[in-house]
Amino acid sequence: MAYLPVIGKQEADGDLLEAYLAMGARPMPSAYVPDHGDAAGIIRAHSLDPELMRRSFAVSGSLSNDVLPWHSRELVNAVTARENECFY
Amino acid sequence: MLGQEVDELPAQDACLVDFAQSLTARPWTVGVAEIRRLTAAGFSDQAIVLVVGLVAMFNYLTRVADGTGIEADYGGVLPEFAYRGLTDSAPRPAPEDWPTLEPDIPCLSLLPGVAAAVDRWREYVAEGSDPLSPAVRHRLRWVTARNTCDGTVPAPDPAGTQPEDQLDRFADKLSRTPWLMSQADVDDLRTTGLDDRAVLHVIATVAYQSAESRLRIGLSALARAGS
Repeated sequence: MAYLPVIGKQEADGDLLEAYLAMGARPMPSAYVPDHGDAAGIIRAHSLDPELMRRSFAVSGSLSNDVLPWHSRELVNAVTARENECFY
Repeated sequence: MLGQEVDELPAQDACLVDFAQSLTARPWTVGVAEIRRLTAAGFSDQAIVLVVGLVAMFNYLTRVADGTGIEADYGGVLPEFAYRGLTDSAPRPAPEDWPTLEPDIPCLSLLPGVAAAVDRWREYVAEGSDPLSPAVRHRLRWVTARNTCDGTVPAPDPAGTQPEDQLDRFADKLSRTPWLMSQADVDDLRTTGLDDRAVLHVIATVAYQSAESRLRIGLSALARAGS
């Protein structure tokens, strides 16, 4: 149970639904697509503010750059999360 | 570590692991020598900007995840995550031993699109006026930057923002030990009258500054290494 309310894609409308649809249209490795069919939790964590969602994930999108191979980018991401004791 | 020991990794990957660990857990130790290790391992300046950017972004995402209390929902691709049970992060050095930094973040323009995206992010999270005042955001960023040993965020006006105690406590915990965040921390913040969206912005502001300070430290070192 999250500490803050979270609005999933199925319950979203208006600006939030548009933000979810834009997020869903981005190229996404299958490892980042959860089985439950909704947006990933880290995206839904931003659901109280669609503009915050858009601007934050625009940065992560700009870092999807092949100057490093995917496995190296994932290694950096995973080590960073691990150092912060976080499952993400 | 992720099911494999660092010394079993190829040299380039081991170098990435070392750098990501340092910039995350001990950012004040990242300087020209750490950048030169990456360069010697074969990474271009563009690749180093990307590595610093990824570390910064995941310092944001992990704090949003821990601050909001979302649960893991990805499939079982990675080995099961095991917490180490840490109760504190590395001790910070005294301010006179912090890295020398400029307010501007250098080198971001080496990667197309990143500088513009970061500018738009900063404008909304670090400088916005809704639902938090700029003074509250400034206070949160100051506490967070100090925990990263980034002295470029000036101290807040002594007249202060209310309620200082709860804001400082929340920002300190989320920036230093995000894995220890709990429902009680969010509830403590709510007692100040902040609504749910404002609490999300408190989390996002601290998480943003955790990323920005690491961007500044890592890319300042890259700029110095090339000068």
